This record gives sequence, C-alpha cells and structure tokens, in this order.
Amino acid sequence: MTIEENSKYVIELQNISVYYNSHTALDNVTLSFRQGEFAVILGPNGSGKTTLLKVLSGLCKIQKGSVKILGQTPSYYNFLLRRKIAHVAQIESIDPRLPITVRESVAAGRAGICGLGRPLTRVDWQLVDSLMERVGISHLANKPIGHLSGGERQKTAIARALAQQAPILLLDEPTASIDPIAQKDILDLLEHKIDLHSFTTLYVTHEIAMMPNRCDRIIMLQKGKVWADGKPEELLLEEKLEELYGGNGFCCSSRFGFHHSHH
Amino acid sequence: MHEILGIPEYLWRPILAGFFSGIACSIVGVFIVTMHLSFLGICIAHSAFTGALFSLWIGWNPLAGAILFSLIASAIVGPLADRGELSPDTSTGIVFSTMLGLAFLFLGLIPGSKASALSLFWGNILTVSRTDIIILAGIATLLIILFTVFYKEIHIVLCHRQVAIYVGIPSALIFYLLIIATGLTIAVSLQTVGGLLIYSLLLNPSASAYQLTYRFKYMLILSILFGIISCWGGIAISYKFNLPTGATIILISSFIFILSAILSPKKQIKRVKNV
Ligand SMILES: Nc1ncnc2c1ncn2[C@@H]1O[C@H](COP(=O)(O)OP(=O)(O)O)[C@@H](O)[C@H]1O
Ligand SMILES: [Mg+2]
Repeated sequence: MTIEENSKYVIELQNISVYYNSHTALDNVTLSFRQGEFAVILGPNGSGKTTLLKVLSGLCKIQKGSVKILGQTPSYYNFLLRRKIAHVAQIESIDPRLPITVRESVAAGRAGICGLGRPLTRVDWQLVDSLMERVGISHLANKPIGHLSGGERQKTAIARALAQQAPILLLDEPTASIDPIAQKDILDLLEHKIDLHSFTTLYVTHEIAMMPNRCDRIIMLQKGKVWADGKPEELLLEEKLEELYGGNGFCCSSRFGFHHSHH
Repeated sequence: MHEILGIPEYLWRPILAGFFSGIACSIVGVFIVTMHLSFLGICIAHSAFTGALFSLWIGWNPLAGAILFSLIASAIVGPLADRGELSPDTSTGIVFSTMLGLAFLFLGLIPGSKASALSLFWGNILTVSRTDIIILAGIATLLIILFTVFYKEIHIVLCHRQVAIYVGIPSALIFYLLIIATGLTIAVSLQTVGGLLIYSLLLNPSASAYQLTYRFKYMLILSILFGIISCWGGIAISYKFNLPTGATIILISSFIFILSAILSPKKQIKRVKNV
C-alpha cells in the first residue's frame, strides 16, 4: 500500500442504488476511497462500471443512498464539483466535420476551472502544449478532432483530463474500442508517463489484460453489486476471475502469470 | 432626392436592417447548425410568426407577441433538446404543428384587412421603422457580446457537449442563453424577412460556413459575412430588378450555400463516412 491508512476519504458512497426503469444498474453499493488511492474497477460488460463513474460526476441520478465527494453532493447542476473531477469517458462517435481542433479540445480541460467568461492565459496554453507533448499528440495539434483515430482521440481525452489538474481522476475503459497497438500505447502512457498515484484514481476496465500494474486496490463489480474488494494480490487469482466472469468472456492473461500462481 | 454616400435616403433603413439581421441570424445559425438543432430552429421561427399574428389579432405590437411566443416555444422545446429526451423530434414536431395551427387560427380571427398579417409571411425590409432598426442593432450587439465574452464556453458546448459537462462548464446555462437568444433574434427579424423565410436566413449562412472551415472562429466570421452579403445582395438585386426583397435575400443565401457545398473540403469526409 502506497497510500497512508489515515489519509482522509475523498469519495464516499453509502448504499447507493441506480435503476433504469425496472433494470437495476447499481445495487446497494457502499464504497469509499482515500486521497491518493489508485483503484481498478473490474467487471464484465453491463456490471454497472460506467454508471458508477457517472454517479460520481453527478450525471446519473441515484434512487437510493448518498454520495459525498470532497464533502459535496454531486448533481447535474453541481458543475463546480465536476471541475475537481477529471473524467475520461468511454469513446463515443463524433461528427468528423466539427469545427474544433485537437489543441482546442485539450484546452477544454482548462475551460471549466478558468472560470466563466475568462479566456485562457498564456500559462494555461503552455500547460496544454506540454501535456500534448507528454501524451504524444503535439504533431496533431491543429487537426480537427473528428479526423483522429481511436487511440489518438483517447490520448486527447487523457491530456484534457490532466489539463484539468483535478484531485480525482476517473478513467472509463481507456483502452476499449481502439486497435491493439494503440491499446498498448495507451496502457504504456498511463503506467509510465502519468503518476496515477498523484490523484485519487478510479480506473475502469472489463478486460483483465488491460489492467494497469501497481494499483492499490481492485473492486470487482457483478450485476451492479460489489462482488469483491481487496488488494490485487488477494483478488487476481484465476479461480476468482473465472467466477467473476462466469467462465465466458474471460481470457486468461499471462500478464499476471496466472498459470504459475495457481499452485 | 436626398442621397448619403450616393445611396438614396429611403434605402438606408433596409441596408441597416439587413446588416443587423444578417449578423444576428448568422450568429444564432452557428449555434443551430453546429448542434444539429435545425428542427428546434424551425419550431421557434414558426412560434414567433404565430405570436406576431396573435398580436395583430388582439391589437398589440407584432414584435411583443413574437418575442412572447418564441420564448414560450424555447421554454418547451429547450429542455427536450437539452436533456436528450427519447425523441425530441416528436415533441418538437407537436409544438411545431400546434403553433402552425394557431397561426392560421389567429390569421382567420384578425378582423378586417389581412394585409399587415400577410406581410408577416414574407416580411418587408423596405418598410422597417427606425425602432425596428434600433432593436435589431441591439440584438446583434448583444449576440456579439455573448459570443465574445463566453467564446470558450460556447465553442466547447457547441462542439463537445459531453466534454463541456465533464469539465465543469455550466453547459445548461450556456445552452439556455443561446436558446433565448435564438428566440429573440427570430422574433426581431420577422419584419425583415418574414415568417416563412426567416429560417433560411438563420440556416444558410452558417451551414455554408460550416462547410468551409474546421476553425470555429472562422466559421463565425464567415457566417456573419455570408449573412450580410445575402441581405445586402438581396436588397440591391431586388431594387434593381424590382423583385420581392425577402425572396431574393433567401435565394442569394441558398446560392452561397450551394457554392460552399461544392467547394467544401469536408465533402470527401462525408462521402467516406456514408460508404
Ligand atoms: N441509459 C440507460 N437506460 C437503460 N439502461 C441502461 C442505461 N445505461 C446503462 N443501462 C444498463 O445498466 C447496466 C449497467 O450499465 P453500465 O454502467 O454501462 O455497465 P458497464 O459500464 O459495466 O458495461 C447495463 O445492463 C445497461 O444495459
Ligand atoms: Mg461501460
């Protein structure tokens, strides 16, 4: 554990439930995260991972329970709280003709915290440029955002999230829906070029092969419930993962050396 | 005949009205076109028209009714588009057709000559009053200020709605400001181009600009330029050849759109995407 046991909780979820009509997306979830904690949220498709992150950003109404983030309650109208939460959403399709460039899109990360009606300063733009450099998209700066590949768009989104300089970082399947080479690239970026321990990081993925190394904690979701919650060495066991994924959709990865850890 | 800068005095009012209408409609159009809210624009345009007819029926100034009705329509349709309801098109369609029904109801109810009512269909830029021009100038100035002060927010809300929400921009506030500005602009421009044509002046200049550039700033500037060219070109050509001014304005804006579509660097992309 790299985080201190006595550091304070920045995210507290108490018995929250989310229903879409009659469908239960999150079922009585209680979780809390300490400052500087790096947690991976693992679970099959449809287990409620995206919903959980949206609850934190205040973009999904909860029917039961309470949420506190940095002492505040998130909601659609609490945009001030969202400035303290950098949220890299799952990739969506966008109109390739949109009049916005990569650099402007990264700068959007500064647009909230800069304040309403205040233009970005030179310092803001310097940060934007240095982050584009760091994630490796400087050469795309003036390209329209709609012309990028999936991997390039994901890097743009990551740079934008970093530009926010928020204490909380939410990553929703940062490696999903992009080609395998780009996946490796993004994973490498997140593991080696960004210190995920400097935020309170929730990293969502459904692919075990796409789990980042060196996380403090793994939370396994299944059908909207917290199915397991513990340290990686306790939970990354072949039988646990097979049970979580119900035998199907689970591909064993040599990344964690399951074949050896079995005995 | 008095002349200022070689232009007869009575032509100055339409020239100024066209200038401010062109600016206001093109700026609002950038919002409508970039966010793909064309139907919402049509709906508000028809509501303003209905409001103007309502005013004539009960004896108000047409502008007052137009503003009232377009704001009512914005208040109904705005939240539907904002919250991403299941099918905003259906609800918008219902508001739209109800407004159209009301328009013809009020038209029938207006006592006596319907001449002033009919002129609302195609407007009459040649008879705009000094007050109309001042109001048009006011709304154009307001829009320029809105888009200058909140430039960075508006850019992101228009192009990156989800991102705007995630990074903590009060996107609902910006969205409603723009919806209200749309309602006001349409209501105020009704005199100039009329209820049937206003929508083209809203859409064509910005849709043309959208075809031509990937830079939001240039899109705004081009859109304004196209709006003014359409209005001034329309006034000049209709004056020279004795044509209806509103119709000529719209046809010029359509012509600019066709040219832009042909010259568009984005054509390729759309074709690739459609395959
Ligand atoms: N807007 C929605 N309306 C109805 N059902 C939804 C909606 N969003 C998600 N769901 C359902 O809620 C469940 C959890 O979804 P989600 O949080 O997206 O899962 P995950 O991200 O783990 O794949 C899924 O069964 C999904 O079908
Ligand atoms: Mg998901």
